[in-house]
Amino acid sequence: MFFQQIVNGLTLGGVYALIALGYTMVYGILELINFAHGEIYMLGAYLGIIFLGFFTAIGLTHSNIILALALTFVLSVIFCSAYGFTVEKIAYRPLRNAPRLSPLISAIGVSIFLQNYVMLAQGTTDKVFPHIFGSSGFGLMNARITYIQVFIVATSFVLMIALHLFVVKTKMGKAMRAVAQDKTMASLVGINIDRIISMTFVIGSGLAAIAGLMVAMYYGLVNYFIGYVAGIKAFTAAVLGGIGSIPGAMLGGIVLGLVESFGASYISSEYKDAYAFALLIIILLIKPTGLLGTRSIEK
Amino acid sequence: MLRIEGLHSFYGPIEALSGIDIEVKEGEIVCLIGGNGAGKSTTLMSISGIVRPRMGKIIFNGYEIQRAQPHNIVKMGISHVPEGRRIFPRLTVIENLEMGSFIHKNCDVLNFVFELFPVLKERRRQLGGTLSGGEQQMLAIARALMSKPKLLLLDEPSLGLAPIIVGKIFRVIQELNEQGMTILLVEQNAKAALKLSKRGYVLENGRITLKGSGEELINNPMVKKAYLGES
Repeated sequence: MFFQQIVNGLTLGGVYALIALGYTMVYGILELINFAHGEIYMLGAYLGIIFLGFFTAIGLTHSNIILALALTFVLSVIFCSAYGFTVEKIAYRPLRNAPRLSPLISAIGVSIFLQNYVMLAQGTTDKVFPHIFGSSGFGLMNARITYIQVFIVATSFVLMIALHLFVVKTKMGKAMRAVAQDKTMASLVGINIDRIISMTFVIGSGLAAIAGLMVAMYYGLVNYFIGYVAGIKAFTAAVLGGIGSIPGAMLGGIVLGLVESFGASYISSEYKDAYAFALLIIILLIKPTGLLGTRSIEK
Repeated sequence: MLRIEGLHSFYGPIEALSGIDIEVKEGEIVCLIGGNGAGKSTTLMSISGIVRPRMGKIIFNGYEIQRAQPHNIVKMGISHVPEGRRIFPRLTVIENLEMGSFIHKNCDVLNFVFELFPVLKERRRQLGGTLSGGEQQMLAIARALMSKPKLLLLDEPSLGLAPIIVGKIFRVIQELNEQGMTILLVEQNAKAALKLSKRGYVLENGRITLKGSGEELINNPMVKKAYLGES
C-alpha cells in the first residue's frame, strides 16, 4: 500500500506541479495571482475532448491512436496558450500600472467569465473523456500501476526538466529571470518586457493545458468546475514551495500530491482536500516564504 | 549626436524638468551637475525612455526618440547605467553580462570588458548580489558596454564607493572616451566630473542655469561655491 500511494501521489503531484508552475512564473514577474489560470487547465481538458472527438469522427483515432493523441495535445496546448496570451493582453496589460488590487479583481473576473462561457457552451453535465489507455497496467512491488499513471508521471517530469533547462540555460529564460528581478533594468538592457510577459503566460498556459488533458484522461470525467478546485490546489502548491520560485512550484506540487494520497489512504479519504490546506497552514506558520522561497524585498 | 530641445518631464505629479536644452556631440564627455532633486536622473531616464516626457524633443543621430520604447532605444545605440547600479542580484556575473548583450546575437565584446575589469572575470560565476559595491559598479558599466553603445549614460557612477574605486572608475570612463565612446555623465562628485568633461551643464530645479566647458565651470565662482565646496 505504501508504494501504491507513492505512485498515486506522484501522479497527482506531477499534475499539481505543472499547474503551479503557471502561477509561480506569473507571480515571479508581475506579482499577480492569476486566478484565471485554473480555468485554462479546465479549457485544456475540454479542448482535449473536442479534438479527440473530432479525430475519432474522422477515423484517425482508430487507425493511428498515437498520432491522434499527439495532435490532440499539440492543438490543446496551442489553443490554451492563445487563451493565456489573450487574457494577459486584454485583462492584465491595461492594468499594468494600476494599484495591485485591480489586476487581481480582473483575474477573478476572467475566471468567472471562462467558467460560465464553458458552462454555456458545453453544458453543466459531466463530459466523458474517451477511454484510451483504459485501466490496463501492471503490478510492481504489491502496487498496481496503470499505464496512464506512468504516462502522467513521465510527461510531468520531462516537462519540468525541460522548463528548468529553458529558464537556466537559454537566453530567453535568462531574460525571464532578469525581468522578474528588475523590470526597469531589464528594459534598459534592451529586453522587450511585454514580449517576455506574453511568453510567460504562453508557457504557463501550455503546461496547464497538458495537465488538464492528462487529468481528463486519468479520471475520465470533465466538467466546467474542475478548474476551480485544481486551481486552488495548484496555487497552494505554489505557495507551499515558495511563490515565485520555479523549483519551489515543482517541489510543492509533488509534496502536495503525496500528502493528499497518503492522507486519503492512511487517515480518511473524506478529508482528502483538507490535508492540502492543513499542510499549507503548517508550512506558512513555520516558514512563511514557503519551502524554497526567498525573502522578497518589499517595494 | 544627441540633442535635447525644450524637454519637460514629470516625476510622478512633480515637474522634474521644465524645458531643458542639452547637446552632446560625438566623442565628447558631457557632464550634468546639480543638487539632489535637480532633475539629473530624470534627464537620463527621459533619454532612455523610462520616463515619458510631456513636451519637447530628444533627437539621437537624426531620429526623434522621445516616444520610443526603452528596448528600442537600446537598439539604436544608447546604453544607460542607472543610479544604484541595479545589478540583477540572482543572476551570475556572466549572466548579467549576457543580458547586457541581449540585443545582439553574438557578444564579441566580452573579452574587452574582461580586460577593462579583470575582477569580473574572476568572479564570473558568482551571483551579482554577492559582489561588493565597487564590483557592482564595474559590472553595471561592463553590462552597459555589452550592447556596444554609441552613447553611454552614466548616473552617479561614484556614489557610495571608496575613493580608490572612484579613481579606478573615472580612469575607465576616460579610457572609454579616448577610445571614442560618447558619454553623458551625471555626478555628485562635481570636481572630478568637470575635470574629465569637455563640457558641462548645471541643473537647478529642472532648469539649466549654467553651461560651458569643463574648465570654465570649474573656475566659475557660483559653481565653486555651490558644488565644489570652495569659497
